[in-house]
Amino acid sequence: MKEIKTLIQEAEIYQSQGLLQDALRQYISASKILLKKEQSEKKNMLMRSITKKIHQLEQSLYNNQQDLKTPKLSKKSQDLVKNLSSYSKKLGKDEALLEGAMSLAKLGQYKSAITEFNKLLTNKKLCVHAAKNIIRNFIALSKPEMAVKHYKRWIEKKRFQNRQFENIRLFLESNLKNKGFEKLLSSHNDTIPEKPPTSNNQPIDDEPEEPLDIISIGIILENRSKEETLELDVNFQSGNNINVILTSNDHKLVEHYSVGYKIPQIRFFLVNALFIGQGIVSSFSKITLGPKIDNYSLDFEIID
Amino acid sequence: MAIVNLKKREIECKIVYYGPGRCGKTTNLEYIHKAFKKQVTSEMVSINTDGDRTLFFDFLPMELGKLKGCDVRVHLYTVPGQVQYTSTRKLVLRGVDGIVFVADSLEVRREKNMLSLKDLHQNLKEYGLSILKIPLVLQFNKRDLAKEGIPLMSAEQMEKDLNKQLKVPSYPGSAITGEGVGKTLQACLKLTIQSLKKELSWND
Ligand SMILES: Nc1nc2c(ncn2[C@@H]2O[C@H](COP(=O)(O)OP(=O)(O)O)[C@@H](O)[C@H]2O)c(=O)[nH]1
Ligand SMILES: [Mg+2]
Repeated sequence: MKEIKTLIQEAEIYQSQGLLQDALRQYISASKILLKKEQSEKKNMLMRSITKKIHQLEQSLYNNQQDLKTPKLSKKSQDLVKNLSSYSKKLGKDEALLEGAMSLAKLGQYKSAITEFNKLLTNKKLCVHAAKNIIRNFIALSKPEMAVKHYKRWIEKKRFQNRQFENIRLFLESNLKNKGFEKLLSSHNDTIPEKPPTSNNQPIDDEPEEPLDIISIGIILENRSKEETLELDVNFQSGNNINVILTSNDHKLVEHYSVGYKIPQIRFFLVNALFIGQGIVSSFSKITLGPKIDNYSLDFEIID
Repeated sequence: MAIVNLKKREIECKIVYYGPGRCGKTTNLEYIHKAFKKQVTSEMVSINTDGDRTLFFDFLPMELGKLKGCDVRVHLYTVPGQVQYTSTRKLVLRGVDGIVFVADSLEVRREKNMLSLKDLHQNLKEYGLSILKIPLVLQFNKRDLAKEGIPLMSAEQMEKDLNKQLKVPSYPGSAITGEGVGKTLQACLKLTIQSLKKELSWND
């Protein structure tokens, strides 16, 4: 009986520490010992109370498991992620906003990312980049119609200059085509305004050189007898840095990649062109949070 | 990667409390927040889910003395311990200047301590940092539980498990009673400031 008492005391302490697994283990050991004891009223009572404890612990563990499966970041946490992301770099406010939005998207928090990208639409330098990311995120959410809807709304509101509209439209079109949704666009063929939407026709002086938009990539797998490629949609692009999401099956094909690894041959599918290049892996890890959980996130930098 | 703000004459650095789930990281910060009130300049943000776990991190800057005429402002963070949150843990380590590794003295947590230290090593590596070079101290927490008669590891055992290669300062403590908590933080701050001086070539 003394042994059982010790086990129960330990279990209680572990439980108070939040160490539920460890508490459960002690209770189970206690019940096993108790089972071997002679029948008595005391034994039955103790057994009932231990069994109840075990059930409670199992329930709590199960509930925690469920919580973890759908970890939703609260508003507060999301704000903290955003602050955290821009912590170590001294960035301008909007650049910090951009980086925060990207981190959210990388965690699969696409909706919040879209909200953040929307705030950047008024920034002359970043607006096109933001618009493209909004499109990408809607497509990642499997809501291509929302991407089109936003695009239409931008046109109504004359958000961009003509050249920018063409740029964004091309981007939208290629992304939709890539997913087989080109139909969605056909009815909007004539929606690009004829004239520049801004009445005072100021030149876009401080608009940076737009990086080439990469819609998807094909990694040419090494050491195969015949050419095999791994086709992936681009989840994210920031200049020469590309982020793609891999399923665990995709992952098996390239599991030897690690940070600094040089991917020897990649096909880059642009809006209207294709080029072949190489990449250096900058990060490769399993996603452990959000809707893309258990997939893999690969970041690499394009090199010539 | 401390941030030096010459305009405000301020140096910002970041210390992260790392360790397995439930080892007492949050309790450490809570104690610091209470006990060093004068130095604390911000609210503590702590986020818990229903399962009473820290989902994210706690945030607590405090002011230290001056370094070459600059105020040193320290951000203290904890990381969530659950395996499910590896990406968050990695994110919190970004730009870290010093680390307190909180180990759980409970014997049943032996393996969890070692796994967490390995995880720290790996995550630092991914940021190009070496666990052997970064300012790091260990805390053997929950020593108060010895009097409850629950199996604890001896300090020697924990040294052998965790500190054989690292050879960093280690402190027994109890985040609940506050024993050793200040000492651990002080030691980590000292190492961090030393390393910052070196990094900024500000040796006196
Ligand atoms: N007895 C005792 N309990 C502690 C100590 N430190 C933390 N705890 C308890 O351990 C549990 C987990 O602590 P917490 O700080 O949330 O751990 P974290 O997951 O590392 O942040 C809580 O129930 C704390 O009260 C300690 O030094 N002694
Ligand atoms: Mg905590």
